[in-house]
Amino acid sequence: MDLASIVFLVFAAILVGSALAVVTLRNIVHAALFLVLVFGAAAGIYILLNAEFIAIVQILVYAGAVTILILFSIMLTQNPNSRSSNPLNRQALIAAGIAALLCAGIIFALSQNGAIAGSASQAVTANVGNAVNIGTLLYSPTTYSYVLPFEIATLVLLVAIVGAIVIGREEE
Amino acid sequence: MLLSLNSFLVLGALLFCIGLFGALSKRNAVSVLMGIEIMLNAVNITLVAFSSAFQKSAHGARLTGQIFAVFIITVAAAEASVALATIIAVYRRRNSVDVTDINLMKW
Amino acid sequence: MSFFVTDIWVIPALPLLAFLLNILVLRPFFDLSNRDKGHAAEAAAAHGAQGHGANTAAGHDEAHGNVGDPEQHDIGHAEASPDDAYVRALDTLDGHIDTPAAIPRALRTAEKTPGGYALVQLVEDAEQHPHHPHGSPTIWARINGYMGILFMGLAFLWSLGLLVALMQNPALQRGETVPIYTWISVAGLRYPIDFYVDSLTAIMLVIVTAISLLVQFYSQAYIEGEEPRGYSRFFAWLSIFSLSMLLLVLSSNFLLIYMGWELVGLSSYLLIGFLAKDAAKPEAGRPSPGAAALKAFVVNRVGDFGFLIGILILFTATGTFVFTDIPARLGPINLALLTVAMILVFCGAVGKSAQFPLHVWLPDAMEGPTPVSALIHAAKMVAAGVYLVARTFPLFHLAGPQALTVVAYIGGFTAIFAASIALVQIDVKRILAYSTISQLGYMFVGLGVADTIGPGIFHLMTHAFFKALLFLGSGGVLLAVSMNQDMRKMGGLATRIPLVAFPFLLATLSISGFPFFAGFFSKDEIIAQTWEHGDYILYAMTLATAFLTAFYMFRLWFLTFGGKGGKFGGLWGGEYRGTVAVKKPDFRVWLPLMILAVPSVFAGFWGWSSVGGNFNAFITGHPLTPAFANPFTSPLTIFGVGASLLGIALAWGMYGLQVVPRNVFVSNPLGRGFATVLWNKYYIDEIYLAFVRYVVMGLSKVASFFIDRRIIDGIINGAGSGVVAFGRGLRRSESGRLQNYGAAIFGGTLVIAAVFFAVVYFGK
Repeated sequence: MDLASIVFLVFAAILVGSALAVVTLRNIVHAALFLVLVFGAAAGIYILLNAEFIAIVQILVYAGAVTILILFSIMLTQNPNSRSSNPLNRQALIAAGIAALLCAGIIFALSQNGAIAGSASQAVTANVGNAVNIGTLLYSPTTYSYVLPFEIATLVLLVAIVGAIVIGREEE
Repeated sequence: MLLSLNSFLVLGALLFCIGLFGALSKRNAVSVLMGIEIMLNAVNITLVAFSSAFQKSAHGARLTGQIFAVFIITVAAAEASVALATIIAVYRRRNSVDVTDINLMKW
Repeated sequence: MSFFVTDIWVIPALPLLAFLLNILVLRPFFDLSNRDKGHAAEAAAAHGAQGHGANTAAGHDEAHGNVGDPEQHDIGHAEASPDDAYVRALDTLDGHIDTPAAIPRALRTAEKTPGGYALVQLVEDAEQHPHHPHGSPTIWARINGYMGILFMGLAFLWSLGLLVALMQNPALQRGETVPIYTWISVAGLRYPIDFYVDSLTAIMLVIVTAISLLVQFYSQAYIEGEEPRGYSRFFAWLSIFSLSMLLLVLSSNFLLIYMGWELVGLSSYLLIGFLAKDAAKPEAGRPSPGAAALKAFVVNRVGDFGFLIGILILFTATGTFVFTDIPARLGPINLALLTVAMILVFCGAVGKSAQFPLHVWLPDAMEGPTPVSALIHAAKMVAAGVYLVARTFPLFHLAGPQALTVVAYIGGFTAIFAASIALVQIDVKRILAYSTISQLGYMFVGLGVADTIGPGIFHLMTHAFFKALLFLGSGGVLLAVSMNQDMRKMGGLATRIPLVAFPFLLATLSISGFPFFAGFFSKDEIIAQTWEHGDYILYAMTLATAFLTAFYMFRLWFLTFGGKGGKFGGLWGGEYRGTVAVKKPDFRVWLPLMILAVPSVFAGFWGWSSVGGNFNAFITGHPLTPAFANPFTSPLTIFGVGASLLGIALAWGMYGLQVVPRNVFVSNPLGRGFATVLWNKYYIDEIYLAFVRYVVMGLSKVASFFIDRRIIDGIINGAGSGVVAFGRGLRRSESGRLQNYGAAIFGGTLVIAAVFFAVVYFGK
């Protein structure tokens, strides 16, 4: 077993374990902290997949911004020390069943599928071109690119910011 | 081979279903949001794994999966900000963020 | 080919045109709008009832019932009294007094009710303020009548031309299809609306148009006296009645004949119920015209049901409705099936021609105006059944012998059955009605036993003339004695209305089978045919019927026109037992009678070989067909003539000379009992009523209770409550909680995945 596989297993174990912790822990602050771990481990997986740009964005946006947001809203909405701040609802068992079955279904389908050839382990040529390529693909005004969706995404962000302010504003 | 595409897809599926369970079974709205974030990450992992597996093509590097991931992250950030603002607004009005109490989605 | 044949469509088109012009143009735009509205409004104002002023005269011609005559309400409300009986009497009166002629009728009815005295007062009041000073038809209504008569006259001339053309050309007599219109033509199926012209058609056309013409002419006087406000309407119905009968007669296939058949039923319904405002007269055993019309319609439905099934059987077997195509296409048809089909077709004829089990509608149909009775009895409705059997005669011959045997025996039984009922009736029109049933029975015997349709149709023809004459004559009598139909209040009318009496006497002799009169030749031929074919039961039946016919017809004659003290031993004139002054009818009444008397006397010569008449050859279209046997060379004729003369003599003795005591038959208990049974028409109506009341209604109740309430209602209610319960359950799923919805979404995904999996893995 090579180093990459070991790294993958470690990250995967951290990911699954901390994700389970997020959904099972009774204390919501602990859950939120484990969420940070999920985000970080996911970034590691991205690096393993030669997607260092995504990994960096992941760290920046998720582990940085979203976690802060979540922690703030936890802080604003309830007593952070409550031990039962993160209870399950009545359909938890059904939800668990559905989730488990869905997972089993997907894994079964993957095990049956020989059509997807290729391997994720094939390393990308180790050049610095990954971020550059993404940049080209996103912004290039001349070649095939995602300029328009990108611009729309900025609008979405703008609207989200304005919306968040309007919704979250204290009423007079 | 451990680092095949399927390993990443299985990982994505596991994460997705864990997130789904969180989204469906939690009373706390923030917790539901955290489940959704896990699901989004699972999808991102899947997309990046595909992108990595099929990057060799006649047209050179194929990074569409990663671009999608970028957009998902963007939208997720926007969604998180709006959702959290909504949660705070609901809390202000009802003094609770228990989603089982919020049952206006009928008729 | 003569243009009389190729343009045969003219004949039904003429009454259709008259009907359309009447009902669409003349009646709404001229007749109704020219009625005197001013008077009604003025009278209403004078009586202080402005609220009713809106009722126009035009409006309440249409209103059968007690809707809105302003003055009628005035009478009621002006003298309101708490007396219960008085109020009931008012209710009786209300809606029946509409015409001056109707007032005595209503009075007669109401006298029997409690509070009659108050009613008499009311009627006198009404007479002081007659509310129909213009109780006569408008000029436009009269023009409607003239138009109907004119068009029918043209149709008659055309039919006459056709008859002459056919007489000159035996080839035409054997039948010619005249294409008119193709209704449907798809993929080898063709439903033509074609006319078929042969000698039978020509005879029927002449009969129908001639009788219709005379009846329409006569109706001018009759309707003016009975229901002047319905003048236009009456002529419209007469036209549609003629149209339907002509369609029936001309049709070349079962489809068209069924259409004409039902149209005849409809128009007879309209005409029988024409005086729908009249009430029932239970004391005289008479239903209301509305009920009678309904009865005629419903009873005919019973027969038509069989007819329809018969047509469908034939169509299934051959794939065609056309009469002339059916025999060729029958192929190796099951003989029993064809026999059953023809008996079912005969069911329709039984209904229309009022034969034994379905005869009950015809006596009640007398509630229609008398010209209608004449039409129904002589030329139209009842002739349709005989015509149908004659038209499908080849098919009857192809079928097993049982089919024609059924026809003959139903006819024979009906003949003697109806004749026996006619013996004891006291209502002029009812006696004639039963005599019609009886004579139609003769026609069916003729069709059933003879080898050709000659004898049956010959009798149909002669009967049409003398029966029309008898009915129109009885109408003349009714006009003369103010619509009293009870013979006990008549008598000796011959000297008072000789112009009606004389043709009536000729017709009575004709129907009684007096030698050399038309009825003698046709009836004797049928009786002879039964003997010739060795059917001695039918021979005895027809002979007995001949005796009974002669007796009851002369009983009718003596009770109405003759009586004690009259000339020639009570034959002409005598004591008048009524109270109403006898009015002499005008020429519009007696002229048609005189005209009809000619064929009633002489039409029989067409079947008398001694003077060269060969009706049989004409009707079959083969000149070599032997003529009817000469009645004066056959010794059997003695019995027929003897039976007839015996009947006449007996009636003369009992009612004319009064040498035979009138209670000779009913003095013993057996005779009395039998007379009671006859008087009650063998209780057939009661049996039917009991059948409907107990069996049909009982079954309906059982069905209603078990099938309807338990099963049908159970299914319906079960479906309803199932939906409700399902909805109630479904509503719980809509909790309003997003997480439930999310679970449903992903659960649904799982289900889809499972289905997909099952399809992929087990569907291979």
